[in-house]
Amino acid sequence: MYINLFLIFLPLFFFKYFTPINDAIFNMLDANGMRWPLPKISFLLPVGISYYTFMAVGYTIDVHNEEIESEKNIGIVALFISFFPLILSGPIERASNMIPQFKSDLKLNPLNISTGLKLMLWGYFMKLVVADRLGIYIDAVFSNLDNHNGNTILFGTMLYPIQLYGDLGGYSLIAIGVSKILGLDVMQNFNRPFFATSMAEFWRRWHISLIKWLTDYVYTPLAFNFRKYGMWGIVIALMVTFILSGIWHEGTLNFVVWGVLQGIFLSVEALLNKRRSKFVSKFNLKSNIVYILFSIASTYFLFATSEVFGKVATFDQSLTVFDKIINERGGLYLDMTTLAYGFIGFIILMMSDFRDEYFPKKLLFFENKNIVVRFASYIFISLMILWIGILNGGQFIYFQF
Amino acid sequence: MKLLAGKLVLFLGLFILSDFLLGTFVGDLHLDTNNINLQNANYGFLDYEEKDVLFMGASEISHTFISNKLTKETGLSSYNLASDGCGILYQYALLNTILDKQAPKIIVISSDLLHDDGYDYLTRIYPYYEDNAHVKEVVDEFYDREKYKLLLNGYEYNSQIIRILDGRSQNQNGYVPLPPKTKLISNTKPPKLPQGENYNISEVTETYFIKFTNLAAEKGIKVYVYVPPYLEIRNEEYDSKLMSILKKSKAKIMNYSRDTTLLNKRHLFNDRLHLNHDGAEIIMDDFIEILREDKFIN
Repeated sequence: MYINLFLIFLPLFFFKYFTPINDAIFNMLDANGMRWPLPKISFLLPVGISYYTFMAVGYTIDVHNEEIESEKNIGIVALFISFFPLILSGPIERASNMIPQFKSDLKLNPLNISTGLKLMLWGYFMKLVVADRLGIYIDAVFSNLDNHNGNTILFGTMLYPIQLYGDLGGYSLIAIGVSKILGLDVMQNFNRPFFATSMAEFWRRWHISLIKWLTDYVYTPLAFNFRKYGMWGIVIALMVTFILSGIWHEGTLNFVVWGVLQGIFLSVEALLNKRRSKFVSKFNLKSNIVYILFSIASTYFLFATSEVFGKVATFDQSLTVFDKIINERGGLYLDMTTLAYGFIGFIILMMSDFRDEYFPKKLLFFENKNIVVRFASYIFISLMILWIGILNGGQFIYFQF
Repeated sequence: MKLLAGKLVLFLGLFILSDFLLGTFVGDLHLDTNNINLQNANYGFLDYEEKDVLFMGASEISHTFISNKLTKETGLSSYNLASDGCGILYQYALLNTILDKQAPKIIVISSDLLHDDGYDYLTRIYPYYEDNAHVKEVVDEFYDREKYKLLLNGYEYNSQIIRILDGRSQNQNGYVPLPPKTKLISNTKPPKLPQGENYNISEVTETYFIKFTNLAAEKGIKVYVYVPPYLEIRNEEYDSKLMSILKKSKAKIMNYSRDTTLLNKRHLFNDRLHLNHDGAEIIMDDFIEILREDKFIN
């Protein structure tokens, strides 16, 4: 298994981490008057390399742990690892879910096609109307930090998670929809993350396939190994898991800090969990709207703040962001047209998520029994994409990972 | 499966019908819009009538060149065709459209067209794509897939609906006055200028800028390039490249970028990049003097 894992990880390490490691050593030696024998070289990262590496690793470990039988048909294994809707940005699927489906008698089915098309339509809406629209404003702010004050940068920081949700959430729905059309059920990747009331809950709703993968193959074995340390063992497992998750995103100091922050948030929550539960019970806050809203807002704020390290290119720029947010006041830069379109899309998205979160059987549109309502909603969303979507080729953010 | 196919056909039919009806409705609103940028685009691409002097460019032109003042003081008919944010490709299609009707004597364009991305706001010419060969040529050359999207009636108004419904209109033959607003600018004297963005000049932008000035010169039009005053320091590389391109062009340069008589008077600015109406008056007085020197007026 270890040889297999080494061979699977080798291309990922080479393409993703060779350049930063080589550059760091080169610069360090260069500063001391020594030359690194290899020239400074840069690679184009093969798209989706992190995703198919994770799927291959999952398959190897599952076979090793005898959770699934090894597949004798190499074509099926190759199909699982390189299944085209998932190869670019996930969801990171499991062999136990996909391989039996690949081996089943797959047939085109009208219900699957219709469900898949609806998922794709909503995915395109999230990507083109919400993410790419808000991305115009966010990129204008973050690509020109020197010329924006702290208020504007804070506003951009608070918007960025929405762009990320629209982008990766939208891509995931498109991938799930394409798979559904082919008759394959792929796991959900997002579950209304902005209604989470704690960071732990947030990470059960955000990029679910990655977190589930990390939980099964990193966190759980670590927590098991460190069980003798009790709660501190869990803290160590959380920290290591999220630091690895950060490094998986990109081998930079920024993403290490991003991972450390997530680890700290979750560790603090884990350490205070009992006290929080007692506090909630004592003051009967479980269904208190003010408390729920406060929890949702603080969770969102923590995530948005930590995502600064995922958004900007260097650690110095991250520090500039926080320095400006704390020290530099001024008028808010508002690109009203862009923000207005983006917020229209965001409000529709949030209303849909709100309905699914609290009233899942009510106010149905795509799933309404009345064909007129159904068709009206398909056409409305299609027209929204056509009229206010960004249709000139925005890239998916997670393609870079 | 047949039922699904039927539903898909029905959906597509209804979608195309909705797009057609909504597109037609919004198209009518677009023609009657009060939004100055769209009004100027409509005038230039659809309703242009013979003028002696045309001002072309983006916001730095629309807020600076007072067409009515020029006409009143010199008798030269003029129109400010500038549309906020529009790059050189937009201007090139517009110039060709105008030349199909009648060449003006004078065109003023802005050097800022050289720091903007040439493609900026090219979508603003999409409503004219179907009937205007020059628009079609530019769009097809740079965005070859747009022709398929433009088959849908609504796509030409993508991202325009808020502008179309904009009820304000300060249109004075294309000129839009700006009020004074000095808070944004340092109070020191002379003002300590902040570093601006790192501007670049792309190959496409440079090529089309030269094509624009050459085409105008071929038609016997005198071209003036207005280099606006700005309350920021621009990167040297950009500045020197800009000047070398302007020297190559067949145009006369009106350079205010280092004009301390303007830069030291913050009350003439609306923001770092735009003069207010008082500043515009000064530039217009200068421009009228230049026209006098160049014997366009007595």
